[in-house]
Amino acid sequence: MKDNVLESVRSTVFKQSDSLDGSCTKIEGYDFNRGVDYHEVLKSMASTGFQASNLGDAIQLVNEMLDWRLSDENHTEECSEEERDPTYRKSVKCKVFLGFTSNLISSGVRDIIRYLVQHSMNHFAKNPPACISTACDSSLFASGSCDSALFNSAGSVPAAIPPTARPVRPKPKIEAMKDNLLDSVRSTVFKQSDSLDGICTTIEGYDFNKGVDYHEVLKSMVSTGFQASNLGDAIQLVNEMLDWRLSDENLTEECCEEERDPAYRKSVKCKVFLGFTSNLISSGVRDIIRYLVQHRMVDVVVTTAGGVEEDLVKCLAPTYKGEFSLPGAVLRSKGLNRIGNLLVPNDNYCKFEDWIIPIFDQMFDEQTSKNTLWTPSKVISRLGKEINNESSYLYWAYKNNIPIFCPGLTDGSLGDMLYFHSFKKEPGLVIDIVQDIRSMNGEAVHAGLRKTGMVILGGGLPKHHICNANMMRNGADYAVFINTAQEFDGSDSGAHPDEAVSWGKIRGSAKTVKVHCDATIAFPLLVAETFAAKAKSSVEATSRVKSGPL
Amino acid sequence: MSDEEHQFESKADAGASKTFPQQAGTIRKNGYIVIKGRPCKVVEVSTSKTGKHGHAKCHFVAIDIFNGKKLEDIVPSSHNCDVPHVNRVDYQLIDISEDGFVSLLTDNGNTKDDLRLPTDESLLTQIKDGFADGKDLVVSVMSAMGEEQICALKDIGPK
Repeated sequence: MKDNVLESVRSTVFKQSDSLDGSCTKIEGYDFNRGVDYHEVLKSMASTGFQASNLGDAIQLVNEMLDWRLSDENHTEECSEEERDPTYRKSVKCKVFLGFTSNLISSGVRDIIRYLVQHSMNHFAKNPPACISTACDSSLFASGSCDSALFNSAGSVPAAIPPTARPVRPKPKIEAMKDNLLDSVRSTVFKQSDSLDGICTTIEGYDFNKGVDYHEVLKSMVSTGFQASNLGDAIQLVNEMLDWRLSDENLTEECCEEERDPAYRKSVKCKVFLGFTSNLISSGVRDIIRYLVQHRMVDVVVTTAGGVEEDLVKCLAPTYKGEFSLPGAVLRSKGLNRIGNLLVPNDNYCKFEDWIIPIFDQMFDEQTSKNTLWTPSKVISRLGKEINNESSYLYWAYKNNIPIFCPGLTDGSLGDMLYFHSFKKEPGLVIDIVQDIRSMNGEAVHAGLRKTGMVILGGGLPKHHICNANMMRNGADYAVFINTAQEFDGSDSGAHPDEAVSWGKIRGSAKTVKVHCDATIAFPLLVAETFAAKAKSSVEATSRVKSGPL
Repeated sequence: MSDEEHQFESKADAGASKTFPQQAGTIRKNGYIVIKGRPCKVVEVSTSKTGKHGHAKCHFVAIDIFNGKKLEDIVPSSHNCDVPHVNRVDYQLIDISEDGFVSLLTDNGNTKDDLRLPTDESLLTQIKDGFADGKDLVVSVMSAMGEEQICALKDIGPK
């Protein structure tokens, strides 16, 4: 009976997580060590997670749709003679309905749509052309998209619509008054616009008639509008940041001998702070970050607890692709934890616990015997050393001496482990956050003559912590925010760079961009055009990435 | 969890172990458990299922059976905990010595003189007053892990 009791208790409490091996895609981002292969970057999106996965799925779906032929289907009884002919069936394709709102025609997407419609006409002579549906605005420019298309064919945003000429004839007084009214309304509404030619970039999207040149597609984003333009600007900004050298600046009076040496000045680069939230480490962006840390392309990293543990857990067991819509209660009963459209089996965390508790024991012993005072960054460095796995960014940060700050270290599975460990070895590890804030702010303050730049993915603690540190040096010189948060609720996460300028966290003279986009899509593209593009073509890293523990 | 694996040596009879291992997930309220080397009675058990914190865990709140202190521990439910053998034996109270020891009559007619008076206030006054009154008292002695203590009192004499 005792055994029965044991078994039932064990099955309730220690829920064995179903194995997802083979049934779900493993989460893995693109490895830039392979070089900048845009096609592969886009292919990797399907296994990167969140919106990147949705985009990857959309790509697969559209390709399926374009590949479909009537010959893939079985004959139905109602088919006519002609409809049974195999050659005919092979020629029948899917009917595609394309819909878009007017703002997209104002943007460079108009050129993409032009390409689609241009080639629909040529190739689908026999079949009825695809329908196009656009929004009808009730704006003064009426049937918005059509007019916008016409305006754009002029090559630039148009100058004023000239008022229509009216015949001259004498009018009764009332008529004259009406005309004056009309005129004043017209002059208010049809305001002569200043010419922007030469001052502003014209909006133009990529022309696929040039073929599929990914680099050019990404370059065209700058002139496509909306968030594509923001991403394009971010790419330009990051390249500027990476290209900056102290030799670009004038000598200041306080410069010492060494600081005047031109060769030295040419060697001094911008100090880059990289911040990101934990969900991105659960996603395939973890591999993009590992590439940056591996090649010393960033100087300081700030993240949340999950950003640390998810990287370690992935070395022990993989994360899988799921769906946003999977029901919570069912997942719980199967021992699966959902992060957006990703799944992490409980078993992964059990492996993590088994791995980390002995390390905490060692650290506790060092605390008592050698008087080691642990801080979050020291703990993280130690964990990076212990994991000893080249697919982990923490390992590379340890090897390259890149500090990782995480004041909220207890806010995750790591915190749970520390909590349990504190019962085992009372009173537990002591972790000093004050020492770490000295170090973090010190990174900004002692940057000296170097400019500083912030690349922040997501909001929350990492975003604010980096901005706050830069406040100590009167503001950063470059800032790129990639997140989906909005500012209307006054949150710091949604705040634009300009709000940070009001705090002195970013300099008034700084170059800043916020890209409203899921970082799983925007960041791999950004890195492809900036960090990875500048990396030397010869293999810099001496080791290749391995997927399992060494 | 090396702490829980220790076998404590008994003063009285060597050879018999004072604790036995039991899986944490099977220990219930009002059962006994060893925490930080102390025998305790469990007053609260809560279980957190396997999840982000790793293996399923049992959270015990227990009271030290000898000094009444509240102790707590968290143990993975699949791990073994030490459970103390707790014995209760009744003895007739014969005498109370000046230096605080009691003299008890055992089953086989011998006296047991190595036990101190309990520290618990109310129990102490009960024993002293009852004995001073000349009542026939029987004391319950609880023993676990080499420690013994009077835990209860009974008046068996006619009065």
